[in-house]
Amino acid sequence: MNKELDKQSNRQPNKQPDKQPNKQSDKPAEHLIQTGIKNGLPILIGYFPIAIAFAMMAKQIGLDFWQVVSMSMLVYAGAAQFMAVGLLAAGVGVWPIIGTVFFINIRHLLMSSALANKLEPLPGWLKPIVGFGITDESFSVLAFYPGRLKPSYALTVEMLAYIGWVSGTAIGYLAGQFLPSPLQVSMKIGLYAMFVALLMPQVRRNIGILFLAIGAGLVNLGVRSLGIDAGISILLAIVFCAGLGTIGPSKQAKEG
Amino acid sequence: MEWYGFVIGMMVVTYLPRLLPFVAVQPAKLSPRTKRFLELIPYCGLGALILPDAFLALNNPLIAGAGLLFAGLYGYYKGGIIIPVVGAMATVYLLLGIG
Repeated sequence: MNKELDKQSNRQPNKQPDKQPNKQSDKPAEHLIQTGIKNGLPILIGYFPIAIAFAMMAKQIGLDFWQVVSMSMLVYAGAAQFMAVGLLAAGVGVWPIIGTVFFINIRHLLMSSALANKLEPLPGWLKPIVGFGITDESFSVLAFYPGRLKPSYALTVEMLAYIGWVSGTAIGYLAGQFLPSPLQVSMKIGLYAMFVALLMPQVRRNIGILFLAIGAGLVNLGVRSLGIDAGISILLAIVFCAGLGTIGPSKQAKEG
Repeated sequence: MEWYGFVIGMMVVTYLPRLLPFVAVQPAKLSPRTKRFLELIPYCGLGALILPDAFLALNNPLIAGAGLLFAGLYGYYKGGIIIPVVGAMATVYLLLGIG
């Protein structure tokens, strides 16, 4: 840390003294953006086939191009969009669908809280943008950034994910039927492979994390088998497991 | 036009939970317990996102499991995200071709 600061001050000796308190100068900005691209790209790849599948399903129930693309641009929530289209097709009314979407996505309240706690101080006008980009996937990638989360890194990851979702929707609507289906099917594993790949280095560091994660998975499975919607059961699983973790001997997983 | 009212309604209820923690006034200092709770969320979140859906992503849980196994082993020993993701897709693609 001290070394980094020294390097920083050597590079710009006394040139801009009032820029000094900029906390983001731990690492050069371009490096943050590069890392962001490297970690955001898997989300883009993973979102693409899912967005294609969504667009094809929405097209099938008779929605037009802009109706479908506007949904991906503004709502920007995978599971909720599938659910909404499914309910529309079943003839469910607008308000019950909006309510369902709320319940599916309320889990992001927890994820955003965790990230807000980790994020470096940032200009007020950027907060709504960082918040808009929170999804299960961007959260999972951002949560494992070592140390305080840098806004430029977070925004790069989020932007790639968004591009993947919106462009996948548009291309899926226009050309989805031309994609070979074995390829489409195998791409569906992408996001889950990403979740596993994100978890493993943490497990290697501390095996207890594996039990915590499996515990959350089992709670999710159990709650879901009662017929409760995935959005809510994920929320309950997180609250239950993270809550249980705070009861145990403290200051263990904290280091690192 | 009615459509866009509907989309904006869905947007509002999706956006609010994502936004609120960022703009809410943060207490000056969180209690250690709350901090720990927040720090554990990513691990529990990943667990709940993987189980059970990862095995249901394809019609074949075994082939899905094989893809996840590749991602898990590679992630454990080498780390990174892109190779595990692309490798898992390739594994599934190959196994679907055989099956």
